[in-house]
Amino acid sequence: MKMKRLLALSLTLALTVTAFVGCGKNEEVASKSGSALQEIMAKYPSKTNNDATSIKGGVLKVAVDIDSAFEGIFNPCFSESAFDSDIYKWFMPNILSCDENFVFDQDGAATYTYDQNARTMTLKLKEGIKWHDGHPVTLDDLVFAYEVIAHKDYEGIRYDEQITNVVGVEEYHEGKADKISGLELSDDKMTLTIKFKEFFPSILVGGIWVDPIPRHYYEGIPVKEMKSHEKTRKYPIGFGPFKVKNIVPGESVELVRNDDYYLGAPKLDGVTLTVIAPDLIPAAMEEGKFDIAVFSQQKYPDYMEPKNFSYLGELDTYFSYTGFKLGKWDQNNSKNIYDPNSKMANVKLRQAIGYAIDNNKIANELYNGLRFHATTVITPRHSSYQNTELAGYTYDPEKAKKLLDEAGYKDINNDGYREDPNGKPFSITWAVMEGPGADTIAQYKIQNWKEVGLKVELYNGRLTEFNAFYDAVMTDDPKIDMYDAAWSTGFDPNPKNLWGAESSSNFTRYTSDTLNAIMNDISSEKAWDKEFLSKRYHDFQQAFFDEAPAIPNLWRMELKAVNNRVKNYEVTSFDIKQFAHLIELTADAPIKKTDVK
Amino acid sequence: MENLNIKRSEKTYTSKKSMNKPSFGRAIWNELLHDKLAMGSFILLITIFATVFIGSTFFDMGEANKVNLGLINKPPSSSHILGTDASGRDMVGQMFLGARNSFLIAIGITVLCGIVGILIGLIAGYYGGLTDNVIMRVIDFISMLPRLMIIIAIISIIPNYSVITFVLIVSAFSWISDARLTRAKTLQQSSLDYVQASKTLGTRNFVIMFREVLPNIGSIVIVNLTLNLAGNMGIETGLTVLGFGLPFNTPSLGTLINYAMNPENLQRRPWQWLPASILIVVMMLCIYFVGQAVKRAADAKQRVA
Repeated sequence: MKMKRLLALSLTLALTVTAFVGCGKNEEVASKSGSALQEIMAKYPSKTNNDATSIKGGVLKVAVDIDSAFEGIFNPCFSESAFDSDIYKWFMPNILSCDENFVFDQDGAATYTYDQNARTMTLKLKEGIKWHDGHPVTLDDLVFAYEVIAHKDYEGIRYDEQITNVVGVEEYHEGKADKISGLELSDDKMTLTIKFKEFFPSILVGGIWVDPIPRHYYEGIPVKEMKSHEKTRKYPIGFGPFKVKNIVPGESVELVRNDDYYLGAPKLDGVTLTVIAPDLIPAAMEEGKFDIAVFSQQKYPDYMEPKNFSYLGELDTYFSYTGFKLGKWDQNNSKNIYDPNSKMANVKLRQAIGYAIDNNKIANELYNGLRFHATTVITPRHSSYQNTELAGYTYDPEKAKKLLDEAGYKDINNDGYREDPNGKPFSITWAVMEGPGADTIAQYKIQNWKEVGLKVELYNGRLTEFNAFYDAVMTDDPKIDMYDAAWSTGFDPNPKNLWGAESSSNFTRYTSDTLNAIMNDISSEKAWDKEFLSKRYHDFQQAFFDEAPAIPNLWRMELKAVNNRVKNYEVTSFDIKQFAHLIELTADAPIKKTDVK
Repeated sequence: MENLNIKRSEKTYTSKKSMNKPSFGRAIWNELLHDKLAMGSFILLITIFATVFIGSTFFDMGEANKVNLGLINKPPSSSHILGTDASGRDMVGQMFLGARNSFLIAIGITVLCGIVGILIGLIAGYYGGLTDNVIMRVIDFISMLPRLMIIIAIISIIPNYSVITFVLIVSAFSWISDARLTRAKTLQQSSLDYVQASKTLGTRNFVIMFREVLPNIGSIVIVNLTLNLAGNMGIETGLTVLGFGLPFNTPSLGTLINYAMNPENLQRRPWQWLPASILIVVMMLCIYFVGQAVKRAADAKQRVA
């Protein structure tokens, strides 16, 4: 049962976190990595450059790209879907903004200071911020969010280490206290001091809960009923630039301007967010049905030079990797146990597998250069931590063959495939998720490995459905030797979340003293020293490359199509920067392909 | 009269037959000769089958399925007459191998279902009584099951499935209609005098079933099998289009038509799905027209010849 919960949790985290990723300064990021990356990112600005005269007001049409329907839980404490949060961010912002490295800054609705020694962080809310019903926003609303999440009846996924790291949360959860002792509110409720059990740099990188929910609005509603209450699903309120006018469950949300918005009245009259299947987006964009939509990288070549819309791009904190199954998850002690006798335990074998994959070709031909060969497990979005000297596993079949020969994997019976060092037939079972183009990639990589003499077979002889895949990989199905997965780092690049000895998401189950020592340093109080932190990040990437528990495959950028009538739009997430009130339009309706000559 | 004919000795039977009543094969041939459409379809069908089976031997399965990332979605040209698909594979090879696989599946299912269905139908119809009752209840039970859903479920759980396993899975649920038809016809026959006479003379049951009853219901069974062939081709194609068909490495007409599920392919890359779609339509029509001719041949009243 716990496994299931963890699965749900990690998946949702990965999903929501993707939604939170934004991009501030592409230029700076790009200059630090490869030239291909630089070239591509230069082609896709992060901001629209529309100089035309704006019209007054207007309604912005935003596409919500889901195959089915959105869940419609518009309360950050209960929402588990990235689609829902993409929607509610338009009317329900949080109180702290971030800089381009995802570190909290002072530009949001609240400012903050912290005290390393006292392990506290003090938030101060700006005056004059009001909920959509006119009630003033106070930090007591943030305390309320903590109380809801820590409540014993709370069933969502937000009650995690991030929340329990606040002093007194666990006592409150167990019912031993009627207040969270680590949250100290000033008398005017505009200043809040949060006391942490442990205080490390990750706390400043999206490491605290910053989404308040209106206490007065939910007054009298038991925590158990909040998730399904109509105040969450039908009439949610926030303090953002737009407020909810109408919600058609699962289908669309209609927002109108909030003239009392604390950063100034929005320029638009409203925003409508409507569900559309991702497959239909290109055609819908050409027909001018939407102003803003996420665009598939695989469909991109057919719409390389759009007439009525243009592309904005941002680097993602996403990377895909080929992991090796090297041990077991110890459920009782919640830790990974490395098995040095596992099938893939030979490091040269793993390195050879890495050198045999031609990721550059996959990125360029299949993703049209909108994904990039990942040289390391830290993405270019976190450029300040990335080890750019590392060349990574670049395609080199000769080197792969040499490594395999050294490791004793030789083709004895001349069938084109190598046998294991004991001369027994050797084949690797590889789990891959279903997805657009996944067949082609899987087949191509199998060919790559065949070139160096490795026999790789798909788990169950085919691609695995998303949920079944994570089920099998999480529960360490002994049949799987190797798997392809992806991870969104989110704000905090701390490798412990994915590769840590105690991380259940570390599906490789690999641990080593070298890696553990580095990861502990990164999460320690020593890490407040920026130089030390950066050095340890570089060390980590080098050690990860050497020990190769997984081979990073691709990084990606997110492509957004934006109609040419939109002005002042950025691909940056609202979590990083509030700019929704500045968006303007320069035509009454989205421009259609047929309107442009 | 007909029954009398059969009860006569082998010699008189054959000589009589060639004089008064043409053999079933002869009847079909006469039908075809008198129906230009059916004849055309028949010739086309033979040509397609021959081309596909002979042609596909020139393609190496491994080579034709090799992903070539530099050649993704290329339109028809001199080097790739039918263009390439989303994995950079030449569509000509995909068409040949795909058509061959689809034909093999359709024929495989038809033959397998035919054998099992006829055998069980004969036994049930011939013995009647308790045997019939038991077999028919089993058949009722199987026919009650949601066939397509179960096939999909089985396909998604068994590891390493191929053309052969696919044929076996589909056949496991498809033989019942053949069994029903055979049983009904056998039931009719077994009450006739010639069967009773044969029994009295001490002929063994299996001999009566296969040498006496089966030839008498043969024409109807053949008609049924011919028309089933078209339907079975549809099963494979349908399942693959839905995404439950053959694995990536095994092209079939269904996987080729599946390309049209992507709106961009449908709009911009007809070379990926149009040839396979046309081939299926042509095949279906041909089988149907030939099947109609065979059906008429089986029933003297309908014959045009």
